[in-house]
Amino acid sequence: MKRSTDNNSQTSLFKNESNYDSVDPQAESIPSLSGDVLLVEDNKVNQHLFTFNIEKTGAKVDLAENGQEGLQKALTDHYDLILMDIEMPLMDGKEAMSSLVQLGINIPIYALTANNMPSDIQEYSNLGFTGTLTKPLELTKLYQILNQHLTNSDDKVHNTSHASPILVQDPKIRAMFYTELAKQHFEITEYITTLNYSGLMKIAHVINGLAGNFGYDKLTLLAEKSLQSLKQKEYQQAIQHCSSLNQTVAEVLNEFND
Amino acid sequence: MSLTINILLVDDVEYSRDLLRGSLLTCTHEHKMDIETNFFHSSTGADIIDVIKYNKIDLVYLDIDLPHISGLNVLKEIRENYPKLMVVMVSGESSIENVTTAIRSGANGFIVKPFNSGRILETVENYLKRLSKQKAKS
Repeated sequence: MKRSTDNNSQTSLFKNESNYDSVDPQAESIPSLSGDVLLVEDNKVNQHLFTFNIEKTGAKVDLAENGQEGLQKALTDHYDLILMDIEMPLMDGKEAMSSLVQLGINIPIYALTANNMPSDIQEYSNLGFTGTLTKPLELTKLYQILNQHLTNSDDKVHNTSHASPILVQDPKIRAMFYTELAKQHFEITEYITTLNYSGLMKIAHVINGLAGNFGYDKLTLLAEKSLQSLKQKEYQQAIQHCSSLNQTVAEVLNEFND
Repeated sequence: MSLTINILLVDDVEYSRDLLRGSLLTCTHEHKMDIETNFFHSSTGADIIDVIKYNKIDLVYLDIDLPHISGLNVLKEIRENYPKLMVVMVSGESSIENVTTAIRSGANGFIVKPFNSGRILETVENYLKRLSKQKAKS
């Protein structure tokens, strides 16, 4: 039977996380959810990784360090979903699961495990686990599970690059945005002159992610176009888009100053 | 016709019984469960078998910390006479000793004070599920 150690899992998880952050387009699609998830996991790296990715959806995460604590928490509070590691100190996931079944906990509980042989998965299913989420963490599968068992906040899946904006009304935060924008205006001018493409990419990235929240869709659109051209190394077009972006930034600042 | 459930609350603290009864009524009402509930109570756990028998109890919430006899001993007594009756243990703490002993003694559920409405609802849902399974078998 294939067994992975925690160290192996950690290495793979980190590798996987960086993949998702930079490459996997699927990872961009994060459901907007609400609900309570109990994560029963003793490994600190996995605790961080799962919590980070689950909380991105808007769901809340409560943590238990081992099977005993998981069992106690599951009996004390109501959760919409439990994610349970199998190999843990004090009480492993299988024993905790058996106790939860005996005590009539009928919420969905998924086994988190590096043991992905069919015989292992069958064993977990026989114990009462709703399903298995294998390590290294597959973000797409995690979000599928969360989507299936948690409440959809707005009944639609949003894409991080096309998120429906939450318009920021707070005057202090708006003032900060305009101050940053003024700095960016000078930087874009400088970077266009010096053909500093990586600098332009950074600024376009920031504007693309923020401007929509302040109601500046045109800025978002131009920043997105600039980013695309820069990524494709179409520099002539990129400079044109960045110039248009900078022109619009100036207009926004003038409007604000008026 | 709605289903009638006879519920026995075994707890020496009146306030605690009232709270549990109130929580059960609220959660079944809020979730529009088509059930009627009759409540019975015992503050000591004494003569529990007679209480269950004469009142045709369907579901028991049993405090683990009774003053004169341990709730776990009462559970054992129930199990000897009513192996299939649903018994939910109620405790002020979910110490692992209590939980594992309750499981070994045949508890069907375990809720912790202060009560969480979601957990209380789960116990009623579990009762209804057990009932429908039993009906399907017969």
